[in-house]
Amino acid sequence: MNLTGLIGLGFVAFSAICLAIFAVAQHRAPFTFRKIPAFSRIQHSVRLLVENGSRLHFSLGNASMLGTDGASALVGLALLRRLGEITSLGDRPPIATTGNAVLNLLAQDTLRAAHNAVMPEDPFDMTNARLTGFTPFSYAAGVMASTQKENISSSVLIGNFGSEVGLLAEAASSQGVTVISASDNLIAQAVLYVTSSDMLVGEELFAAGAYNQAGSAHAASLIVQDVLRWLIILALLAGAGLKLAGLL
Amino acid sequence: MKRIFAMGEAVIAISVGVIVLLGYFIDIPAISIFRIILFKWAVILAGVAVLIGMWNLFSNHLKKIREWKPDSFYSFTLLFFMLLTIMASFSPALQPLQSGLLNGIMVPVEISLLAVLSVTLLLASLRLLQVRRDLASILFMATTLLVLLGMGSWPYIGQLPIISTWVRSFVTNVLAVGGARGILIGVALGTLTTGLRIFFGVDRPYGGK
Amino acid sequence: MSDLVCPVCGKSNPNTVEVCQYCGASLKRSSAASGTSDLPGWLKDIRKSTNAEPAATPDTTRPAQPIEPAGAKDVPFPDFLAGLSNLSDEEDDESPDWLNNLRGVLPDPPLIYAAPSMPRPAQPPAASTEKPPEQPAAPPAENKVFEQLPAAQPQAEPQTPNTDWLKAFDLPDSSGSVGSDIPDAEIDPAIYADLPDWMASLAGLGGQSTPAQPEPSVFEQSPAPANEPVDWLSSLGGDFTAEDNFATSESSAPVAGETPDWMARMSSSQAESGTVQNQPEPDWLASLSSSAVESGGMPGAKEDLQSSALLGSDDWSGLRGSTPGVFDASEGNNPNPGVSALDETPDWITNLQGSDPVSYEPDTKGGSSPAVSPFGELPDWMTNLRDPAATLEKPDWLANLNSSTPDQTSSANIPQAAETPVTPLENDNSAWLANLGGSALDYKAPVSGQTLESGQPAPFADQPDWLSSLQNSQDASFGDNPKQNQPESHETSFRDEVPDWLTSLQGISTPVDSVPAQAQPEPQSISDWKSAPSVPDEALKPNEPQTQNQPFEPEDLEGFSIPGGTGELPDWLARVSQATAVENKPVQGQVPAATAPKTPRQQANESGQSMIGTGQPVRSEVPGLASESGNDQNIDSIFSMETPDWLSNFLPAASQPVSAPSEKDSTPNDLPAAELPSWVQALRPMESVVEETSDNDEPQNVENEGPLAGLRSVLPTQPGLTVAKAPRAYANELLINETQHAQSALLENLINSEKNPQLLPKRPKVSRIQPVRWTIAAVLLLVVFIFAGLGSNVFPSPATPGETSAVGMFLNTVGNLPDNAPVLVIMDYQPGFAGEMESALGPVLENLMNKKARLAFVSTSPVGGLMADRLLSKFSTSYSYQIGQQYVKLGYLPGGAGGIKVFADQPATTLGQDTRSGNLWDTPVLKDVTINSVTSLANFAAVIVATDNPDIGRLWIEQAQPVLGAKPMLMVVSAQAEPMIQPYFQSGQISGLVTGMEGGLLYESALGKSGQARTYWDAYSAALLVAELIIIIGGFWSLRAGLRARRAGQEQDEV
Repeated sequence: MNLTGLIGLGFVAFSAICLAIFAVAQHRAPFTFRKIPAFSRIQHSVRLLVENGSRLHFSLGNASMLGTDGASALVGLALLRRLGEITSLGDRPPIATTGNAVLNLLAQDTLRAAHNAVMPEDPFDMTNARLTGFTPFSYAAGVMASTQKENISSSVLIGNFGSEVGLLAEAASSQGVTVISASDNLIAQAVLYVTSSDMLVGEELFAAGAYNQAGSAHAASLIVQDVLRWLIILALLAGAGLKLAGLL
Repeated sequence: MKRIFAMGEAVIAISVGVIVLLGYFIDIPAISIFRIILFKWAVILAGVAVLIGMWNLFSNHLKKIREWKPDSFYSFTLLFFMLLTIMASFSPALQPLQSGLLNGIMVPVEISLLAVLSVTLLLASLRLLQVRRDLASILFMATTLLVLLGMGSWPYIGQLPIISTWVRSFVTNVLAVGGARGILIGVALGTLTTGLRIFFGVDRPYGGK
Repeated sequence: MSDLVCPVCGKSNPNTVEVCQYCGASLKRSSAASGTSDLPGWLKDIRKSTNAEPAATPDTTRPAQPIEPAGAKDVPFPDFLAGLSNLSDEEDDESPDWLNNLRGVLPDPPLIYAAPSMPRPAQPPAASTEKPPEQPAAPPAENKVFEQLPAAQPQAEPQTPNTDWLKAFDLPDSSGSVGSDIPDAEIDPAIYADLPDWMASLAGLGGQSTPAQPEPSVFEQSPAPANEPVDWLSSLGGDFTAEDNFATSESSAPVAGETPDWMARMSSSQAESGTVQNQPEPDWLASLSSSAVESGGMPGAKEDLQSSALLGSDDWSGLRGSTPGVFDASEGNNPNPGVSALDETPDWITNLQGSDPVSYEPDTKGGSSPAVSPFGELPDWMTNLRDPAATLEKPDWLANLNSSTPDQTSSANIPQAAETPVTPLENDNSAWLANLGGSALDYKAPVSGQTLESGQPAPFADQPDWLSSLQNSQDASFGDNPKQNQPESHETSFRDEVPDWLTSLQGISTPVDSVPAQAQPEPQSISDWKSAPSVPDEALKPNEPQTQNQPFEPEDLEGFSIPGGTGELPDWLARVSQATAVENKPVQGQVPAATAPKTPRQQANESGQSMIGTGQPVRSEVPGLASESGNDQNIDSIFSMETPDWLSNFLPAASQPVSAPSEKDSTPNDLPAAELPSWVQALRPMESVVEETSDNDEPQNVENEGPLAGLRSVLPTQPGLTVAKAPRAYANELLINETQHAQSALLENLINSEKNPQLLPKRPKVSRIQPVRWTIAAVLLLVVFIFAGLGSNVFPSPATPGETSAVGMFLNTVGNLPDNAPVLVIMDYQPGFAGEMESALGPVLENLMNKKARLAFVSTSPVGGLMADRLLSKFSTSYSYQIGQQYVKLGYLPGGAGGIKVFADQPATTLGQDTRSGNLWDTPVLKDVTINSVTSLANFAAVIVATDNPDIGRLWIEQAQPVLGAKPMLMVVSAQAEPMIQPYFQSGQISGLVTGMEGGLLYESALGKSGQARTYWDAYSAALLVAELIIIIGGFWSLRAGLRARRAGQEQDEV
């Protein structure tokens, strides 16, 4: 075991401990977070679509569950569960599109769980979770084709996207669909910045659960991220200082 | 019974995650070997998931064709070429067909899509200041111009000497990279906490609650 | 001064006391000098005519006491006769039973018999301490009356409870039994089948087949004329056998001088029994006779008897039975020889005549105590009749009747009476007396609702003739309808026997024939008879508080005149005439106002009970009495006038004067208390009834003011319960403030808005033609096509990269590779980025192919392998790389980072083995990678990663580079990934970096070749310039538009 490994393992352990502590503290004294307009827009759009009988489109991207980009997919799945329970009561059930097969399986399972939670008597349509393409652009092309005549009023793009997310956002905007997007990919973020009005930048994607009452652990994880970020900042500053000092 | 399955799924997920994580940090042969095995299983499952995804794609478009929806022609086309590709993959005689399908359909389509994307991005950049009239938007636009000016060359001039060398390098290698790195660190931290939530069983994407 | 004899117990009391010291009966008597002073004139006249004693003239000097309705004033006893004035107005007018019985018709049995178990109004038990004060005891001579009665047949059954009222007359004997002296076995019940119960009880019949007759109240008993000749009584018997056979009764005696059958039977029964004779006469009868003697005659007594309720009940049968020989002259058992039973004046009448109205002495001749009669305990009023010490004043007519009893008892006397100038009234008087028995026996209550039809005998066929005659006279005088349906009475003999008092009453020279003896009473006639000269209305106002124990003054009858008479009206009639329409209509259940002297009927009406103590009011089946309201006052005035002493003795001993409550509740009255005659006071038995009922009731509150003045049992109002104040005025308008108004308006708007469907915002239609987009696209395409098609070389290539640059490093690294080295090439870029990537990777592969490097392609994308084929095909002409010979495709590497990790660790086991290709790691291409059967990425000479995604690049760097060790990792990335990969180059984790088309152009330039990069460099550069221009121009344009919109918005806000 090398030092790097130990540091890494310690870092992970410390994060776990903080997560547990903050999760307990969340029950006693709920944390308050800053307002993120994108999440407010998500809630508002979901309520509207339930009212007007339209559909919600949730795109999880083409992240692989075996990589680091899978985290964004997990966040998207958590948010999909929350929104799926709400929108399943509407006239049109939500649809989820993915560019990855494993992610598509998870999306199907999540939608089914959300549907059964509110409407167990009705059968779940497995085609609501769709694998539109194996490559990003084919995925984007498939998404655009699937959402043209589905009476979608709101499109949530949360996951690992590439530059093709621009196509998705532009296509949705041209149809009057409210687009709320978030990606861990920098390119997607840059593209989404100009093509989408409501987007989540950077780690705001990982706050989706906390801002949608997914659980106390989600709020605690945000606190842990903040704590660790400050630690990293301090470490960077310290390293830079040491480097400047010639100690490193 | 459902509760038992749910608990079993959670146990498997948590145990595998712990093992893989420890395998990354602790160089113990037993753990490393187990980690590799788990990885291989994951790779296999991912491959199988591709097949499942292909079947999902096939079923969706088949449903559209069956219901005679308005865009069922496109679904028929997709299914036709899907089957053709599968056949071509398994048939050596149809091996050249794969190159044709790739070079004739797939690559042009995607290149076209990328071209459309470029136009889209260009148009979006024009409306950016209408939608967002803030400093960030201005900086974004300025940065874009600088990078574009530093990348291309001018007629008979070539690349601009300062912009293409120093400014562009500074912007891309310092400003952009710094911001990107910060974003990436935040994303990494989010990934870490997300993984920890899975370790604790809070998030269970594998089985609905 | 002589002591006062209690009319109830017969004991002497000091003169100073007003209430008997022993029994508590009222000893108050009229303030008149004599008992006859208060008698009406007509009674006095009767007495005068029969007796030598001058009839007591009515005290006309005395102001006529207005007939005070019940409760109006405090009077000694209530004006029970006042209720008669209401008979014509109500269907439920109650006529006293005695009055009904006078006509021989009893009240409606259901009404009367409703509560046989109810206490009788007159219960003068000997032990009772509450006895009416004015209840003179029956004179001892009353037994003579009953002695002349036909012997009653023995009764097999004991006396019924209905006869208890008569029992009340009897003082309790040693055994305490009441009515034990009734000769039950000596009376034939069959004879008296139709007798009223009271009559039957008198005869000891007890329970007869006849319907249980109501106990006739003592107040219903018309005053029996004291001076009535006996002849009229002799005819009583035959008239009372059956109502239908009223004219043909087998025992009907001749008209003239014939003893009534009932009387005959009574006497016969008495003779048969032999013991009846010895039965003590009822005290009331004795008192009647004595009072009749004292009063000097009882005009119309015979008629009264006929229509008396007394006779209407079976008690009279008992009466007859108990007084054997009274009416049975044929049996010879007449104790008065020479005098037939029917001719004999009933003892009660005799007693009335000879009784002292002032003092009432118990009649010892009869053998029975005054208070005890053969029929048991007599009611007080009857008991008092025997008490000569009774202070009740006896009317003159009763006094006269009594005085003439010896002569009247003889049958000759009856015709004698009839021989007197018979006026129609007198004839009527005789008729009613004749009808006294039969009609009373055969009384059948008229069906409710039954109306008199022409030719149909009136229900009160037994109306005394004097009553009928009075009605006729009144009709003639006042223009009323003449009497109708007055069947001739077979007792026309009685027409000649009209008592003087009736004669004096009439003064009407109406033909006898036109006035049948047994005039069928009519409501109109009765009412006419009742009607009298106007009586002051105030006198008849029932609500007026009346002083208690206000004696009735004969002067109340002032102004009343009998047409055809002497012009002088009896006081009682005068009163009636003066009385206004009595408002004291009997109200069922309503207790009459306190302190008001009430007529029996009035009391019954007000108390809601019959005169005989039933729980239901006694209906007035005397149509004549109840016909016209205008005549009610006459009736009231009549019956409120001086009552014969025998009636005055009818007051039950147990009854207390009604004045008791009235004394409590009465308000001070300025009017002096009137002294009522004794006979009026004798009517006080109703007081006991009222008192009993009233005693049972809650303390009655008499309203003294307001619309309920005079009424009793008004719900009391406690102070504070009702606040006499005007109710709070509430505005009809709803008072709301502004806030509420606004809220209500808001709510209304919300509700109204629910009706209107809210239109959803329409989606903006997607415009197929987007001018700006198409323009931009067109410009770009044009520029690219032009510059690419022309193959220009306008835009110069960038400068040669330095060796330290990324491209230079990459060139150096590749240059340093040995020839025929295995190089791993990772093809992780999308087909869409093929143009850029192939521009950058092409020169690198060309360089490697120049080095004869053995290439192994792997991809984390499914199309990676195809992309490798595409790229290699471009160099196929220049370089003959064959798959499996010079390059291999290891395949698709799934799993993302994990797959990379796994491949990095164990590439041979991860990829490169399939059924079709076999083990690629054993091919000559990769034979050098496996060293010592260990396949590792480190065995590759270099690893080149070509990706457009910076993340994949990072993954390969992060996952695979550690495994490479010293082996270089080179990356060929897209321009979009350069910022993310550049740090890795700067950190030395990668050995070289080629970025997009520019890098490819630099690489080509370094190689001295011209490739795809150079071909598309001019187009690329031109497009970049155009894009830059578009961005600049568009930016400025959008900025300006935004500012303009902002200004417009600000202006609107300002507006």
